[in-house]
Order: sequence, then C-alpha cells, then structure tokens
Amino acid sequence: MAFECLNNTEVSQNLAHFVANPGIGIVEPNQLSPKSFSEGVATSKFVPDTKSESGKGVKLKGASTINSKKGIKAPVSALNQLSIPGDVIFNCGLSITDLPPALISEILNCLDPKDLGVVSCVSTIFQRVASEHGAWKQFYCERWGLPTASLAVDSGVVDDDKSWRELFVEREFRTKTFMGRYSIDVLYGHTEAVRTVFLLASAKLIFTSGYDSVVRMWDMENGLSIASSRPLGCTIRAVAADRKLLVAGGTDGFIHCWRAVEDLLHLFELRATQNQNTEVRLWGHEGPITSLALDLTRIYSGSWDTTVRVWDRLSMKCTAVLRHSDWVWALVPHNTTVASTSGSDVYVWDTNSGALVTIVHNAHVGNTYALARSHTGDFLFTGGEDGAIHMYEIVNDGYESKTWHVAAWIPHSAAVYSLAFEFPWLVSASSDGKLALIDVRKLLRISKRALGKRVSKVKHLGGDIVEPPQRMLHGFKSNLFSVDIGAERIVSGGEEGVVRIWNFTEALEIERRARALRGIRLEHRMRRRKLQTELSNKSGRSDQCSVAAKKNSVTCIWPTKRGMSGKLKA
Amino acid sequence: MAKESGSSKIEMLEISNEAMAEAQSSKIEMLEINNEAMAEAQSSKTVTMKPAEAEESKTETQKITDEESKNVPIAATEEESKKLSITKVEESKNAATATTEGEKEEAKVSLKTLDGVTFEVEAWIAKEMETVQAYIDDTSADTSAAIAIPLHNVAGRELARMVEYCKEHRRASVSAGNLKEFEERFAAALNLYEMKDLIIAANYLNTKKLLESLSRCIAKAIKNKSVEFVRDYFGVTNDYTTEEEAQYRETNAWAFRNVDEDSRN
Repeated sequence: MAFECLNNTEVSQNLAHFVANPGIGIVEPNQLSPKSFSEGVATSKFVPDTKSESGKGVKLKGASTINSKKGIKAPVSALNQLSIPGDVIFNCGLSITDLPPALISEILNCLDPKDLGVVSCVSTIFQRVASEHGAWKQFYCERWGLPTASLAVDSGVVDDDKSWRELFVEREFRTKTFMGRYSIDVLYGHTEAVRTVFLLASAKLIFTSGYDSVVRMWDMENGLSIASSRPLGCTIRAVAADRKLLVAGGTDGFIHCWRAVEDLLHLFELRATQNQNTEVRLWGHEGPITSLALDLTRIYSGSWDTTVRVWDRLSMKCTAVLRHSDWVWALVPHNTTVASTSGSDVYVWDTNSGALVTIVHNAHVGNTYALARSHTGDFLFTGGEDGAIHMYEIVNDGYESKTWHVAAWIPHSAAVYSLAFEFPWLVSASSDGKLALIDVRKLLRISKRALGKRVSKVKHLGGDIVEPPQRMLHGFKSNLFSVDIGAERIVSGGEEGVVRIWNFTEALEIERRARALRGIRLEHRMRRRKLQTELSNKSGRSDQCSVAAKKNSVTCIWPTKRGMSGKLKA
Repeated sequence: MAKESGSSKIEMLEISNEAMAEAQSSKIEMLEINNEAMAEAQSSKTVTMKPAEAEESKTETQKITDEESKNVPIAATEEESKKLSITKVEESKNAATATTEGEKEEAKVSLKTLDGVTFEVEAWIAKEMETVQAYIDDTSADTSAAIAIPLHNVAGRELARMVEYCKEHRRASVSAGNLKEFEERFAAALNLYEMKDLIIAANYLNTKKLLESLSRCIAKAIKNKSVEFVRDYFGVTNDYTTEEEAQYRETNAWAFRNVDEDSRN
C-alpha cells in the first residue's frame, strides 16, 4: 500500500507538471496525430524519472512506458530518445495470474463443472480458485436441488465437512449407475392394474395405486408392503407426496389427503382408526383427476374437466382455477410457474397471477400424456400418443417467455404414458411395455451455451441431431402406466397389477468386484512369469558347473610334479 | 508539493469509496434481478471484502452517503437499458441527451488518464463507467464542468478501447446478432495481455458489460480444452510436482471425458 501511494504521488506530480506546460493543451480523442505527438512527449519525459527511481519503481514505470509505446506511432526523434533497460522487457511476459483472484473467479464463472475440473489441474493457483469457486453450489442445486432431501438427513443440516465440489463430484459419479447392472424387485399386492406410482426418496417410501382404488405404501429398500388404505371408492389416477402430505386423486373428482403423523416411522397412517384429523377430502373438480403435484405451499391438480386447480395447503381451499381447451393430462410446478399438458398442447402458467406465460401448440400428434421438467424449470420433456418424446427450453428475456424445441426422440412404438427426470436421466414408460433411458447431459449444455444467442438456437432448430436412448429396459408384456426415478432406482407400474423396481444401487459394487477379479488374474500371470524366471536361473547354475570343469582341465595341463603324480593316478 | 500529494490521496480515497459503494449496491441489484447472478454476486462480495479490510472506521459513514446518492443513477441506468431494447437508437440518444441536459450544461466529460492524455467523452458513456459517474455525482455541476477527472490506474490505450466498446455496443445492441458479431470482432483484435489490462481497467471503472463480455471471451477460449493448452494460453508455469499432478488428474478424471484432444500440443 505505501509503495502504491508513493507511485501515485509521483504520477500526480508528473500530471501537474504536464498541466502547467502551456505548450500542450487538451487533446481530442478523435484527432489521432496530435494524440500520438503528445503521447510521445509524455513518454520522453518518463525517461529521466526512471533513472532516479528505486528498483521496483523502475520496473513499474517501464511497464507503463512499454504499454504506451505499443499503441503509438511516435515521431522518430521521440523513439530515438527512448532507452529501455533489459530487465523491463522481461516483464512484458506477465501472466494472466497477475489478475486478482476475484477477477479470475469471474472468468471461471463462465465455465461448466467439467472445464473447472480441467482447469484445476493447470497449476496450484488455478486449483485453489477452481475448487473454492462458489459456482459448485449453483451447479449442484440447479441439477438436483438441495442435498438434504436426497441425502435423507433427518436433522436437515448439510454436512459441513464436505464442500459443494465434493458433493457435486460424488453425485456426478453416481449418475453412471443407470448404465450398470441392476436387479429387479416385483411387488405384489394390487389386485388390478397399477395406474400411478410415486417414489419419495427422502423417506424411502413408494406409493402406488390404481384400479382397485387402494393406495399402498411400500418400503423402498426391502420391497415390502407397509400399509394400504381403505378402498376409496373409485379408480385412483394420481398420487403425490412429500414428508408432510400425501395426496391421491380419483375418478370421482375428489382429492384425498393424509397429513404426516409425527413420531410415526413411515410418516403416514393410511388406515386411521382413531385419529380422524389426519385425513381430508377436497372436492371441486367435475371430472376425473389425472395429475397431482405438491410444492411447499400449494397442491396442484389437473383434471379431465379441462381445469388445473391450485389449492392452499394450510387452509385446504382452492385459490386458482386455470382453464384449458381440452382434457388436462399432466402438470409439473416449479417456483412461480406450473407447466401442464392439455390435448396436444403444452401450457406454462404463472401461479400467482393465473396468467398464461407461454403455450406450445401441437406438441404431439394426438394427446400429450406425459410431462417432466428439469429442476431449474427451464427444460420441459413431453411424451405423447405418437410414441415420441420432445424436449423444450423455456427462455425468459425479461419481458416475455418463449419456448424453443430442442430435441426429439422416438424410442417407442406405442403411446408414452409417463416421464420422470433426474439429472441427467430421462425415463419414459410406454404402452409397448418398455422403459427408455435417455441421457440429456449434452443437450442441457448446448442449450445453456446458446442462452442469449438466438441465432444459434435458430440453427439448432433445423438440425435435430440427437443421440438415441442409452438403454431400454424390457419387462412387461402390456401397458406401462407410470414411472418414477430416484435414489438410484426406477419404479414402474402397469396393467399386470404388479410394481417393478429396477435397483441400480449395487452397480458400482458389481463393477468393483469385476475389477478385483481382473486384478487377481493379473497377479496369477505375474506369478507364472516369476516361475519361468526361476527356471532360467537354474539353467544359469549348470553354466557355473561347466566353468568349474574348465578350471579343473586347466590345472591338469600345468607341468609340475604334482601334475605328474596326477597322471599316474589316472 | 505536499498539498498536491495530500489532495491526490484524498481523491484516491474518495474514488475507492465510491467503487466499494457501487459494488455493494450493484450486488443488491443483482440479487433482486436474477438467481443466476448468484455467482457474480459472490465474486463481487470478494471484491468488496478486500478494500473493506483496508478501510478505516470513518469511511463507513461515507459509504452510507454514497449509497444514498447511488439510487438515482442506478434507476436512470435501468430506465435507459429498457429504452434501448424498446426504441430506436436515435430516440434513445435523444432521451439520453435530454436526461443529461437537466444535470449539467455541457454534454461532455473530461477524463485524464495515467499517462496524461485527456479524453472528452459523452455523458452517457461516462454513465457506463460507474466509478466516473459516482465521481460526477459527488461533485457540483460547476466544478465537474471545469476540471478533468483524474483516473490514476487507467492508461490511455485501455480507456480508448473502453470508449470504443461503449459506442459500438450501443450501436450494435439493436439486434442480438449484430451484438454477438461485434463482441467476437472486438475480442479477436486483442491478445491475452491486452485483454488482461483491459479487464483490470474495466474492473476499476466498474464497467459491468465490458467486464462480463471479456470474462466470457476468455472462458470461451479455454472451454473443452486440455490442461496443456490452458497452460500455454495463460502463460502459466506448471508448479506441480509429478506426483501432485497425477493425483489431481486422478481426482478430476471425471472432467477429462470428451476433452478436445487436438488442443494438446
């Protein structure tokens, strides 16, 4: 600091001297030749001061002199007057790491986690800046939300020992499990087709329901039935839950709600005999309820009566009715918006004002049955009657929202009934009895790069070059109605009346075992090579015997008395 | 001589205080506007912290005063940015001129750089440089018209580039395609060292658009490139030992998928 102040003082002195000179007036920036002339004069005046400076001062002054020199077409006389020491020229090679760490952090903010990982291998300075970067939390939260839910920590406190970067890297690694080995659990209990499944990963519970009008609760890890509700009187078409509330919607147009009970291990008492306060039934829809969703303060329900109703969770009253042009099939809320599908269109609404934000007409040929959304709410995935899956991006310009078509897949030969998304995997359930796993990681990156650049998006519309689905899971002979993904598991239900769980949690362990076996084989090969080496050593010993024999023959030839006696003995 | 050095110190303190207040108010503004700007706000926190540690207790009072005076220019900036996206360039120029006429008689501001060059820039360009705008707000209209504003840390070449950027940016912001084309052309004309100097100058004068544009260009150059390429590009010496580098590469092995191998020299 003290040195910097001194430097600035000297600069101000030079400036004062410059102003006092009557020969030089104020220069317009547009006039090039007077500018270069005045800069030449200023440059020549730095030279005497440079000589009288201390060591560091010389370097700093020299640097500024060279900077001013580069941009100048100065007169020849001024150039001849300049004499620059050799040490100053060396300082031209200043690295970008001379920038303060805050500015380097600003540059790294434009990178994505993969590039941050590469940059952290460049040098210790970059490693420190890249690993402590605040963007890691943003990367994690925009993909998977807050880790409390996924880690199932009851205290609700994030483990402070792990940094956001470590959490991100660990989670990124675990996303590979869906390409590994799996085991299938089959849950029996429903007597008719399963219409809907819901996986509550934070509580390790699965909720299913269907044509037998009973809501069943299963343990996610053991696959055992925990409880089942009383028959609700009609087909249950939608179920949604969080740690506070479980809701089920049926064909008669009601929403049956169970509140979580404290101190109960499995949160919900589906067959309450004494406490009636935990159950509530909401009426308002005039047609079958096809979709339900929850957020912190609201319940969303979509119905064939062409409306989506928004309910307040505290008062259990309807606060908004969003009217569509056709039957509502699916809905997904996010922050202040809710996306819904009606007929073949996709709608996005503002929840607070009830206004329509944007609409996608004719997303599918026929009805759009399924809808999923990324955790940031910017990307929508739709599945429809034509068996296709489409990906859209919602772009907010600050004044209006637009929806861009990003990609399309056709992995199924029949209608897609359900979609589920957990970064980077999109899972689709179809009436052809198959599940498709699609990795959308590259698409998400491409779209984010294009943010703010409409031209490249227009180009992207023309060429839908998309990878095919990474994996197809076969398991059913007939219709699959619903699917959910979470906690390294995929849950689906269909017309057979059973619930299937594809369990990928042991994929990494199986992979490690396979690698260990390979390691053992390598060790065996090494041992065999050692044995061969020992055999070659034995042949070496026979060579030594032959050498000894040669020595003995040499002794016999020697002409001495003992040698003569040797001959006699022989 | 002693008086002159004293006055220059006071000016330095005032400018640094204004820069800090600007950073804080801009931080609040960012948080209100976008969640996506969280990282930028965090990085601006880092900027704010360091000068704060060096500050005396008296400057806290000055901060409050500076923050109060900042509300007006920030609102004006927002209005101006909205007008830009709605109306044509000519109308926005007239609006800017009308705004400045109310503030002072002259429509030009004098800026004196480190190497003694004086620039006459239009008032709306000075508004982009928030440090300069804060200086103008703190002085009376008569005084600012007479004296050139000293910029002790900015060289003439960088200031010329910044003025050029502001002018071209306003002209090109009519359509997004032209804006992208202009930014690419502007960055292609600079080498890495010139870009570094320009980043430092933009950070000092708090020119947000230029700072974001330059950061994006540098990040774009090293995106999806190998470690060796990044070292060569930044001119960084490898101060890892062989074991340390191997360890970091193994830890970050997940990041090396799909790296552009052609960039390895």
